[in-house]
Amino acid sequence: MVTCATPVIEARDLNFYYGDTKALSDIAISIGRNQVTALIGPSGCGKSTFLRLINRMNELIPDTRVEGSVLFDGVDLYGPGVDPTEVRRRIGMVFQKPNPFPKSIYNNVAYGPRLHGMNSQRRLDELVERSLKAAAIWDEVKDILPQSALGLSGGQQQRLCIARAIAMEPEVLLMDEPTSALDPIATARIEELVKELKKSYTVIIVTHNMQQAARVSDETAFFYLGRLIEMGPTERIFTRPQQEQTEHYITGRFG
Amino acid sequence: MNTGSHFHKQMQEVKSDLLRMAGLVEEAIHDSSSALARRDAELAMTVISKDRPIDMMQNQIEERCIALLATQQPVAVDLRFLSAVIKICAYLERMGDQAVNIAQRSLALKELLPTEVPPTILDMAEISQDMARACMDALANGDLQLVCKVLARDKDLDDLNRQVLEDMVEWMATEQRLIRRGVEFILAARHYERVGDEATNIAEEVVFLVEGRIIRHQGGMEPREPDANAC
Repeated sequence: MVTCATPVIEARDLNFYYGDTKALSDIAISIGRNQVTALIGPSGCGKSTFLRLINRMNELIPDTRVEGSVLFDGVDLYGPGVDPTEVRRRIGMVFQKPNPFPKSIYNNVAYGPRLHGMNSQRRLDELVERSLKAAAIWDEVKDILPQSALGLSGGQQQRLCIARAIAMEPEVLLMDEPTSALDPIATARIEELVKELKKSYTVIIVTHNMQQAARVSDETAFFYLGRLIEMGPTERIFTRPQQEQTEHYITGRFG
Repeated sequence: MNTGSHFHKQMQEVKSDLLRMAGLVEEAIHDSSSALARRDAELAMTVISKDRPIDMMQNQIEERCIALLATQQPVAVDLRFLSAVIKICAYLERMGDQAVNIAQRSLALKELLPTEVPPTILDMAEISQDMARACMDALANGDLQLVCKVLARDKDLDDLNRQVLEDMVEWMATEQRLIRRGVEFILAARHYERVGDEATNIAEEVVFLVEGRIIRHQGGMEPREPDANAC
């Protein structure tokens, strides 16, 4: 069991199946509050599956099964009476490809809060501005808020999606390869943003880019063949990993 | 963080270059010691002339390491290896300089009345050569037992250096014309003591390379785990 001082997410004896295929085995992990945790590992290792388990996205896929528990602030997300919609509000997600709604920049951010009953125009204006500022895109879009979000560049769209997630005032932000479709400059901006976001949020990021994991995260977890092989402070994982499999993966000696 | 086999082939080449440089340095220390013991001016001149290729190797190896760091962004053992190599090749270069210094002592003594080299200095020559050889073998094989051996012998060398100083001061006090020779012997002892220091530095880097632990300035090599190799 990997533990930390103030966990916000904890998985215990976690197994996950796609039909008969076991995708995750005996995952025990503890993720610290206001930290950036990077999940790394080769394709098919289970890192994205684990990420999606944290906000109950996998249950949207038919014929899947969860065993064990995922605790969020001590409450089992898979326990009886837990509303998945509420889980996804408190644990937001940003995906690999920017996926803004075909709406205005303003309405992309305001959409979720409106859906959850926020009708006051003044409060919505404040929330949109605050979210866009937190996502480091306010200065670029403040004069074009009524324009379509689809006219923004890829990097801007991704920051808009982060603003959209932030507008729901989540506690945890899940990011599934958030920069894989972006150029190096847009990537650098998102990485800087991630470092800022951890002051207010707990960030869990799946990345295939190990330099990115090394740059942005406080903790790194290495998954392989559905198991959590090693987790520890990023600096240690990238200088002195304890498990041979971790060392082989990060130094490119696999296969 | 890198593309695998081509990168690792390049790392192997860096290691081969470093070991080749280590071989040249080991030879330089051996030859300068022979020149000192035998008053062999020709051999001393050879040692001095062979120093420049060692200096050039340091530059080449360092440049290659920096290029690999910049282009491959290595991590874990690869990162430790390249950062250790940059330091080790600097230590080797300084060890080579000490061989040149010893050769120069040999040339200076050749100009003076023949005198037997004090046995304490011959002992220092032997110990420092043993240390140089052992640290290079430790480097080649990642052998922590040899590291322990190097670290233990450094104290012997320091003790002998002090002994030479005391003996020479006493010797020079007996007769003024002995002073030049006494000073040369004191300097030679100091050069051997420095060879031992550089060997110790290299041995310490080998620990970092193998285990990722920095033992420098920490009073020696403590065992990592109860069952780990203790010195």
